[in-house]
Amino acid sequence: MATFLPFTTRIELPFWKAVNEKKLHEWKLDESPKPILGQLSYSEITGKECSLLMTYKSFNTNEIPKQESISGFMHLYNTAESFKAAMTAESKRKILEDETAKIWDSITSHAWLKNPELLSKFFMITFVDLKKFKYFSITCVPGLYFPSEIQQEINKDDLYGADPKTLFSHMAETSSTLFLFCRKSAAILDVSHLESVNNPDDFAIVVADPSTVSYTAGWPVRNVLAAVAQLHSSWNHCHVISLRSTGSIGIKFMWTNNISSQEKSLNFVPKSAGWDQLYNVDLRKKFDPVLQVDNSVNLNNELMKWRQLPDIRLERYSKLKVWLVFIKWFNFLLQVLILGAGTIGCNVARGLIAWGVSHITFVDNSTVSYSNPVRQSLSEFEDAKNNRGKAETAAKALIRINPNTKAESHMLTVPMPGHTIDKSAEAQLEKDVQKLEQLVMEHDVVYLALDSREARWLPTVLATKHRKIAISVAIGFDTFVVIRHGIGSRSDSLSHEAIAESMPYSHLSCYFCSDVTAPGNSTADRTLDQQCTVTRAGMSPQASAAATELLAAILQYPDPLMCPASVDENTTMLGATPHQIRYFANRYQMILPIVKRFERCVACGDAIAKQYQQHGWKFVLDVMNSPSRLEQVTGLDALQESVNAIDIEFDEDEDTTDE
Amino acid sequence: MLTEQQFRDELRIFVEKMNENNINWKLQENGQTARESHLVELPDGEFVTQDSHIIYNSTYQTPTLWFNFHAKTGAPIDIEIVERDLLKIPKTESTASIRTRISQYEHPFLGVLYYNIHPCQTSQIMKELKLGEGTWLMSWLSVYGQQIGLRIPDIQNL
Repeated sequence: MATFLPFTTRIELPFWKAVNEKKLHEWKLDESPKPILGQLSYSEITGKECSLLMTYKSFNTNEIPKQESISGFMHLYNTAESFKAAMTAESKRKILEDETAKIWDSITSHAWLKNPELLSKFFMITFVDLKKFKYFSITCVPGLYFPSEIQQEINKDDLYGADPKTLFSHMAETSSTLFLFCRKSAAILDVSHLESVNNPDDFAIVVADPSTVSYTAGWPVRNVLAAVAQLHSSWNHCHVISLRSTGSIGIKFMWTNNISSQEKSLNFVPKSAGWDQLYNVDLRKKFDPVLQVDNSVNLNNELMKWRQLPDIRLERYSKLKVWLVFIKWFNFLLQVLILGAGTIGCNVARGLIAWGVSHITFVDNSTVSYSNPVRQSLSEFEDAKNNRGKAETAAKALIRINPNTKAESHMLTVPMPGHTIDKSAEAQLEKDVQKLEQLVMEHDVVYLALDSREARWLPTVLATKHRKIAISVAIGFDTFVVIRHGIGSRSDSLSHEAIAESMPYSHLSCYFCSDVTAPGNSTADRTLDQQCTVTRAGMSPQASAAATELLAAILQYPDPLMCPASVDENTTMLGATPHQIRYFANRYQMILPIVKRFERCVACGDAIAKQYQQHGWKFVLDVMNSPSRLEQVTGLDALQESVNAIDIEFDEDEDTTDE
Repeated sequence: MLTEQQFRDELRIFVEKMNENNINWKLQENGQTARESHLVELPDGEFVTQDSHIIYNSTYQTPTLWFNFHAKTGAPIDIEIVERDLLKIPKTESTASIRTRISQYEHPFLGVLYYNIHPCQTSQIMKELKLGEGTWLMSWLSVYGQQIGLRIPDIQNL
């Protein structure tokens, strides 16, 4: 039995892009069949198929060489329903019959002798959803079952005396894929001469064949045989040269020429086959603009991976998988809480989204004022004019920049030591403390980008309690400091060998550890110029950049919560993971102190943690009304007393000059 | 390096030579670029189309190689599979190798993301090769094309 290798439709991505554009700008809702070209290759050496390539040129009908294409139509439906209706067995049968009848007509009318391309036709039934970027299509290249039984004999060594090179040249010169080779004279003739040929053995019919299997002719040969058998009803065989650059073959095809009565009737159309599979592809990632952003941002960071740091774990900035000792692997999205949506908060957020961080929450209690937009990079003039909340403005700006960001905002005043409140405000205080604690619990990293010392107190207590990565960022006129607070509380921290030049994460000081007095209300009794922090414009971007990169490095450490403070650049693949970064702009000097935490710290000390654990918001209330409470709880007051009690005796009689 | 006109002339010669050797490159966009596509087999037995284009880069004044892989439905292939099974980049590949300079950019004519080998090292590499007239692109492709599995004719046939 002769077999014919069927077509496999291969669509390239740019083809779908071309369809997108044509439908949007040209076709719109028009469902009439669209002319289209499928490309063929006669030099394919891989695979076991005839490839029908749909490329971005498939609609530019004059840009593909004629001999390497077959023409057809695309039936593009506008709705899923009409597409499904076209895909029922009955509809498919009908359209195949109609298209087959057209080919058969060109055979019986002998029109194919002048225009052999009439034998090779195809059609596609397609539906595209341009909102969801989903593409459905099925292709059919009708192959006629006529004659109904064909045998083949392969003639691999002898191409009937033909030189393939000559045949290929002829194809290139005439753009013809079907012609005749005279076995006696080696002349090449146009296929229309076949009409006057009497003896099938005088000629070999040359067919340019996209088949990649050496012992099987390709699908186009099928229709050629149907045409030949119809043209010469007395013939029962013919010779074909299946022309391919991978090794042309000669095949003798044989059939019985008893024409059945059915075949004699005028309305006869042979049976046919040729459906390929239904293709269904989701290309949102390639065409949806919002996902394009995601793709491109990821791509940008992937470049870093390809070019500089093959082992960098980029997923940690969006997803952080952490081995929490004795518990299990957690796989969650990295969520960053930024307290303060001012100059530092905005700039840190900008840095984080460049790394691919997608979950950011802002907390701020004020609205955008006219002086803000020049320094607070997520706000603009209109926000100040309309008096919008800072946190809300920052969050909305992030979403405008990258629609894939999950940015949230909360307008909240962080309760502060020394800022007295009266009874009427206590209910709100309880709510605020709870809200703030809940926010800290829900996030993995907390940036303390607030504008006063005392504002950082409660966040420090909460971050310590819940074992979160907390980073304080503060700017002075021409200085900045970035401090990553020691993780968790000192007493229940995991024991960890302190290596020379590095200190375990749990041993690091917080923002307050170096202070022997409690933070108080720093804003009361100050003039306007003293209340706003005045800084050189470049301080905030520099500080925020350092704060972003510090987190980026920490997150590359195998278990970030165990990342020691170290100035050794081999600590992580992004380099060192310092504890404190202090910068002095007037002399462009940066130092990296590593400071041990203070057991009597008013913020991260155990005594404070215990008080908060036991009394919660009521402790906060106490501290707000009387910051000295912090000194009492931690025993700092006793420490201060003991300093005063030291009696240094000055011998007043002693002469200061030597004898 | 190569002016745009020199590139176009070389490209014509290149396409002719390739076609003589049954490697199906075609001139496109009025001779501005050439493209070739063929099937590649994946380890799981599936075949994908590899589609390669040679496009002139006026900033670097050299040709650049753009390519992509498509499943038969038109879906692009996962980057991991591209690296591992198609380009066969070993994990230990040195950072100086050409293949670390592969990244995705928007294709100048097609408007979709295609892989591209960055041309920053081309002039350096081409200086080391002996070039005759009409052999520029063939030599260039023998370096760059090999990285992505493109066939080069045997030397005798050139």
